[in-house]
Amino acid sequence: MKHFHSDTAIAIALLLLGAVMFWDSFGFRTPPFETVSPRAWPRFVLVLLLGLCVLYLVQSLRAPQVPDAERGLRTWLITNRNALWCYGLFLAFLLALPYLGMLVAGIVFVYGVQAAIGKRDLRSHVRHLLIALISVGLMWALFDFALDVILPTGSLFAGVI
Amino acid sequence: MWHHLSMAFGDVFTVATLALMALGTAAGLIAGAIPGFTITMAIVLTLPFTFGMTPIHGLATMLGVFVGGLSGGLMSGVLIGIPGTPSSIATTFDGFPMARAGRPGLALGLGVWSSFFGGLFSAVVLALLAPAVARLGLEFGPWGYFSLVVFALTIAASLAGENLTKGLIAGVGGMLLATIGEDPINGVARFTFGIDVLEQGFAFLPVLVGLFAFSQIMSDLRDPEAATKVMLKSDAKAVRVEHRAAIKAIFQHWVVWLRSSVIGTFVGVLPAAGGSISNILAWDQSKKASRHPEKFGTGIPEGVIASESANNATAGGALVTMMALGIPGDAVTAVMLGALLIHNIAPSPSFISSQPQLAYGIIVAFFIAHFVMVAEQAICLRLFLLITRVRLYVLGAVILAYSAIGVFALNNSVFDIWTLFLFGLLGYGMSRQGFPLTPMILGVVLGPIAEVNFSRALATSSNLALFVTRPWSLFFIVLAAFSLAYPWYQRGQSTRRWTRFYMPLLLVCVAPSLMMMGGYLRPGVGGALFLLGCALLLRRVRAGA
Repeated sequence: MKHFHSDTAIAIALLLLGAVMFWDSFGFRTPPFETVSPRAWPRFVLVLLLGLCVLYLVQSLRAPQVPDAERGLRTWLITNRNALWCYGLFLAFLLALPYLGMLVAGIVFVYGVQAAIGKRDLRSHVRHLLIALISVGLMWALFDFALDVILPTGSLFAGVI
Repeated sequence: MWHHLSMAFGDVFTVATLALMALGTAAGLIAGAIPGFTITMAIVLTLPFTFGMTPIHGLATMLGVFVGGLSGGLMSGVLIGIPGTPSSIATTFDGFPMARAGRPGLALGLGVWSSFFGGLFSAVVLALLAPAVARLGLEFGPWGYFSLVVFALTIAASLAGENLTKGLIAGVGGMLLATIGEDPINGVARFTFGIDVLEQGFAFLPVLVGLFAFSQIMSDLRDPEAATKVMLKSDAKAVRVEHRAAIKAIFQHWVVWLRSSVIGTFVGVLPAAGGSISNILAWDQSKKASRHPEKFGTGIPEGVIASESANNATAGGALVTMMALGIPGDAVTAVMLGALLIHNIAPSPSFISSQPQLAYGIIVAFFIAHFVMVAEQAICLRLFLLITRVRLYVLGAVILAYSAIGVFALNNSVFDIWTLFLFGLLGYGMSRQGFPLTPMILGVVLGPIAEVNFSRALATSSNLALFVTRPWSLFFIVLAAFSLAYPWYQRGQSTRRWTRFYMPLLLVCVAPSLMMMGGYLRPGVGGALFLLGCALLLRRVRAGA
């Protein structure tokens, strides 16, 4: 396990993914008329991908192991803290969207990201809230009224917004 | 051509189009001025606004963003030494020292006006060259087209440098992603794994926004200190652009401008190569050709002129390939191509002849966007720099929310926001692991083109040898093979003996395909290249012996 690092893990994961997709290509419906099979192109691409992944795996196994600055879950979490906050809050925004709607969920999301990454004193909280209200409100109004896009209102606010 | 151009001028010279173009240019200048925000990201984020517009309005807006973004990058590069976009990296080499030496106004003026003249040069080339390239494209056939796509992907992957394998995996991965959903020939569902929403495949826009905008913001926000500090601290009030002195200097160094514009346009025409390469290449060539190369990097006008005229000229060159062949010249034109497809326009060799008003409208809009850019930079420089004082995390949060609303607007589908999220994660993970994103997006865009032509080729004849016996196909396959070997060539140039034979061998190998073509000119050029390659080979063999 001396040489097992992230590149090796990714190469193995890609190989597995490629194999699953190749297996899935056997289930494609065959068209009733004489034509180029719908399997031909994806399989051609998959063979290329699998070949490249094997090469990538070999390269990763041969590569000398360099000290990884991000080794360890704790270091990784600290290094990617801001990104994780954003992804987590965006996921929450997506899950809340059917209930809160685009306007409210959007405001909560923008405020949440600023509160998570920026300063946390009272003045900053007020500023973050104002920025969230104005920016999402403006975008919502622009898309809803000017561009005629019907944005999700959310089941909790149906008929209100 | 003149008739179509005059008609297109009529279309573009309307208050609505010019106003939209001015807005687009302003957005591009702002995005370009912010370090870490790319032009691709700016165009991707503009795209949702153009859904409801006519094609010419939408394209004029995005061309404004494109030109504004290319020029906006020089502001932060000159004033704080951090290029706003990769297209302005070389601008900082001389622009920043010049600004520190007390001439920021001249540095900015040189940048603005070099961008302007470089862009105008490539607009003229675009108008003259695009119809001719389109006529050539008609000769490719499905074999040649397929090989051209392969060539484009190998260039994109080889530009990943050390990470060639990762670049290739990203490109092929992009092509694989494009196969999800109904196949373009038979309508058979593929790789849906029983999920109904996947039958339509992933929409292009959420994939783009996820890969380029979402993941880029995450990368920018990753550093807690950079995320919370003001992006640009330079005092804009003290800067006054020296227009007259800048124009005078460009005329004095017109050879540098011309050479760099030619380099920029040529790099743009190459599929998958963009402004991030041309500005450095032009700066380097100008240094080599200079009588005082040691002064480059110390703050001389030639350095700024070379970089900025090249990066704007690249845009025109990239548009040639996109309009005439339907192949994106770089990531930005890949987005433009996607935008055209959203407006139900598919560029191909017949695009210019079948929709001349729109095609020439693009050329005219590109031309006029440069005048708008100069005017806006002259008037609103302070305003653009003021916006860059917003803290990155605030801008990031607002852009993420906007991205969600924008991609939803495409199909009124929440699934598209999920796609945005998933590709945002994928893009972030890829960039953290050293996988380049450009080959992937090119794979997504070019995958369906490759598949359709691959299927057409096989439907016409099952003989696979046609891919190497058809002249254009052979031509692109040879170029693809050499572009794959390019990273090794570049790495071993001073140490490996074989690299001395790379260029002569390229000439010798590419010549037969040209000799197989019809007429007298191309076989003649092929013959000349073959003889030149042989002569160079002999010389290098003798020199090595």
